[in-house]
Amino acid sequence: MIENRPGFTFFCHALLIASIVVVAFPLYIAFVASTQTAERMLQFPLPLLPGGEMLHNYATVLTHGVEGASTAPVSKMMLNSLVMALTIALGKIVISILSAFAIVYFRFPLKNFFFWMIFITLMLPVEVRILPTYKVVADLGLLDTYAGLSVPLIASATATFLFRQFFMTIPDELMEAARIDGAGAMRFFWDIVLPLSKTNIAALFVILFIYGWNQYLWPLLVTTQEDMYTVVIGIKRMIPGGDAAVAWNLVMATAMLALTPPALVVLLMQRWFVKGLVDTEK
Amino acid sequence: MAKVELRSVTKTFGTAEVIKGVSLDVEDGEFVVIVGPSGCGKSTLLRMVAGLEAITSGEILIGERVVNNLEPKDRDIAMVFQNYALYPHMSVYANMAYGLKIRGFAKDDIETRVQRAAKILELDPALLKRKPRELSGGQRQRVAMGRAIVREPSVFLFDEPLSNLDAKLRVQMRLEIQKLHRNLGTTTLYVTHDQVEAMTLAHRMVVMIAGRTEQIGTPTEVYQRPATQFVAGFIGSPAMNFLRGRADAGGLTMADGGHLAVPVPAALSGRELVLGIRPEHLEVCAPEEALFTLQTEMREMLGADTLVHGLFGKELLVARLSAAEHPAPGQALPLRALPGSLHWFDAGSGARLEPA
Repeated sequence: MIENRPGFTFFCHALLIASIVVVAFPLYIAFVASTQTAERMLQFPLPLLPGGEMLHNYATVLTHGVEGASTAPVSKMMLNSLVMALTIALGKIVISILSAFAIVYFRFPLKNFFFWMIFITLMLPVEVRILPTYKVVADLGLLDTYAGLSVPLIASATATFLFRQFFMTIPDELMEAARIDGAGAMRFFWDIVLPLSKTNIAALFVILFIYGWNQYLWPLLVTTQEDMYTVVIGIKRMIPGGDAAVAWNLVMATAMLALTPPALVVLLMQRWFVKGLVDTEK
Repeated sequence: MAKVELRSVTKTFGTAEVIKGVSLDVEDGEFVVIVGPSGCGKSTLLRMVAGLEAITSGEILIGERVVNNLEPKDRDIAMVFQNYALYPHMSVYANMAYGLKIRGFAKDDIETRVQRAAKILELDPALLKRKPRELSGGQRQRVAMGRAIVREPSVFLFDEPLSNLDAKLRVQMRLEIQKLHRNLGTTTLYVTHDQVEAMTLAHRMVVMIAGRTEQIGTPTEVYQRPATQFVAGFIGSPAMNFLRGRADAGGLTMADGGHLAVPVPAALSGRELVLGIRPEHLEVCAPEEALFTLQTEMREMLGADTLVHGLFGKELLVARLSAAEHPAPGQALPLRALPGSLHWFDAGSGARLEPA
């Protein structure tokens, strides 16, 4: 705003602060809940200040899991989630940067046809193709494995498309100069294209890591053993149906743990992320 | 060091023929400039020599070796691009060393070559650590040339290297390219649309239009004896004046009825001709000596001289006169041509006519 009106500035700040409170309050409640005893969480009113059980709760979920529900330790689930999210993010980046490179820099028959085939798969999210994919993964004996968790989610039209668009902005003369300098196709990719794509890769990594970490439906289907649960599934499994009492303090502790890695990735890679979305090194 | 030979080279994109049979011999150590209006195929021709475009038919030889099917890296050439094409993420040093590194040169050999190139181009050693985007246009241009000279190729190819620079820097870099060529003596092919660059740099120049070579010759030859009306109009600034008419014993009778009392060589009598006179070859004279009288329309003061634009009949003509002349608009200006400065072209084909 160019005008300088104190009332308006106050209104803007009030609105922003209110919005932050609306977003942050549930997170705060989750944190407070994760520091209480199970009994306290079933009493009225809900506590608004942290209790004294924080270390105990977190240690319990990390090492033992939840009594009466899922008994796998959350640390193992976190590891499963991490492996899956990293495999998906890195796999997607490797595959899509190579296919985009092929589509932009090579001439081969039916090139456009293949590009559009990749593009069309954007219309087929996991949920649509979930039954055939499950059948394939089951037949390959990949249920309850890291490969089964991550490989079906690796193919990515979105990332291929983004890299293609970026490569098309690299001036052709760079490729020609590299050819004259004597660089072959893969050398050009490794020495020129990859370093220029650094920021794009970082931005995509953030997005894809969170995408992988937050997968719910697919891990719910392909994991049956508790020690292969991802942490997102673990939270769901900790809430038994029927009349059994829910250990909300432990569920919330798990939830707090589950949201830490994505938050860390965003915080640590924020500078790169913004750079990758905004500018390119040209 | 090598000769470059083009033998009836053609190039077609789909059905469009963009290079229509170009033959050219570039001698060892020669500086040849290819000049022409945009879209005449001059850059395509250079890229064919570089190996960046396939050759549809004909042969290109570099150092007596047919290179049609060789990759750019195997042709022993180096190219400087219009937008420099420096690798943006590499330091200046890495940019210049990249080609050597790929070819497997030893580290200290690379170091000496890069330092030597930097010295030849008067690049400050401190700049070698910078990224290309931290350099000015002229410095980037030098780095692009440095990348070409470290490899000591037998042929340099320049594709409009000065078009992205401002006017002052262009003049300076033009001189440096000349100096560089004098020091290294490497065979050079240089593409430009700028006739001043062509005239000043070339040992020989190739004037191209629409995929064909119109004339190949030294700058003086091309200026003094343009082979066609197109070349005559393209080389020289302001462009040559043309008057079209039918030749008869008394001179040239033009379509609009005007008559020019000019001595027409006997061999050309009775033909449809175009008379060409360069603006700088016109001078003011007494009315009875005049070739024609110009109705002054406008004048442009250039400092050293004055350009006078005016009408003769319906033809708009230009004369480059001394700064002392400032005819008022509407004033009649009797002009004559310097002796031996008339050019005759066939009105149909545009070819130069040289009456014996």
